[in-house]
Amino acid sequence: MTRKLKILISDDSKLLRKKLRAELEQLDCEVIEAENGKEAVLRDLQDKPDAVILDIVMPEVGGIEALQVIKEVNPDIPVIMLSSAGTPQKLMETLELGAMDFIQKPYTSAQIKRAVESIRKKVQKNE
Amino acid sequence: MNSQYFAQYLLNTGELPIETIRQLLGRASKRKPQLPVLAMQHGMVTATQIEELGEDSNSKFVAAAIERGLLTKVQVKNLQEAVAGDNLRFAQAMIDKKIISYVEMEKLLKRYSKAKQNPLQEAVNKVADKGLEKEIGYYGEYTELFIHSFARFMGVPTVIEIETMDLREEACPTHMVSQRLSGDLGLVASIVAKDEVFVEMARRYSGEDISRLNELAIDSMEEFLNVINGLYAVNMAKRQMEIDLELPHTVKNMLPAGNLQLMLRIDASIGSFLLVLGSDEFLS
Repeated sequence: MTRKLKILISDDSKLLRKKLRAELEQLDCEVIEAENGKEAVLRDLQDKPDAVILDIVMPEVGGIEALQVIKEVNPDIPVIMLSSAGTPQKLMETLELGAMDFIQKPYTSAQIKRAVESIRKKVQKNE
Repeated sequence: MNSQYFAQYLLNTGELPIETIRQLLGRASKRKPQLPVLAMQHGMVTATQIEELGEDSNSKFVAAAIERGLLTKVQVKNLQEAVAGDNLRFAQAMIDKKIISYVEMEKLLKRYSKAKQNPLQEAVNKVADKGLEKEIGYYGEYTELFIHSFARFMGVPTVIEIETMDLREEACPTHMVSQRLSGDLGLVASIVAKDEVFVEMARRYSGEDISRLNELAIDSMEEFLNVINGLYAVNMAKRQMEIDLELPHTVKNMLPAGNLQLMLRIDASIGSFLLVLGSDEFLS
């Protein structure tokens, strides 16, 4: 039996966090939340999630800076970017920094399901 | 011609006044085109034949049309499975309200299909002040994406008013959500709406039970604008234009002032609101 994945979602939109939490809980994930990139970095250190889902445009510290720090601390952690700013340049930049995938908003349930499956495989491989 | 722009075409050409279009938009969004309209649009029957049959309801029309040899059962099945665009929904709403006969509708739809200019772009051009020649292309594309996204995420078709705008309609209380796009193109996009319209838009976009203007309503509208602007940035990237999104923000009882500004009043069955595009923004 597979264990529950603990996923950190970081987005300044309360609506997005609420909707995404519901999607992830349906996929049997435990969810923790952060409202900006700074909080995401702190929660990553404190709560040690299995994976992170990061927005890009956020107050205080943006998603790209947060991705850099999170990957420096834990290079193996799967990070999925979930952002409206899905231009090819942002996609390349975040993939080069170690993001596993990039989902353009608005997301679909199928995209989130596929992302969770990929995270599960990566986590199992790392364990 | 795009299936969503029939109402805009009717407004641009003066076929219907804005008051009638406003009433019909709400009805059209809930109304499926009936078989007489579908059969006419697919060229299976003429409007004259429909009027001769004198049957508006699906079942009576089908029975009469098959009996007269105008349609086969296979054709009826195909029509029932056909996916109709918003233009036919709007046409059906006009027929329902007896604003137009089938014969007149047939002619109107033919004229619409032959129209060369995109009705949305035409509306934007009509409203835009002189001096926006460089921006009008970008503004037009943005507006088209906005109108599509509004229908997609809120399930509400809209039209752009082309009359001179009366800003007294934006009397307080209003809320304005705004987001700046920077990089290869400088653009500020804002939505200004009376509070009851703002709340209804937030409720529809979020799918949440929002009945008053609260944090979730503001958050939902900021996310809505952010998603549209993200889609716009992706479209622009296809032309090698890199655009960054800044954080959206919301203010009360203000209208944006700025340079190279285009102010459009958008009408929907849930009320009207302003879409304001400019190269920069000052709050007034």
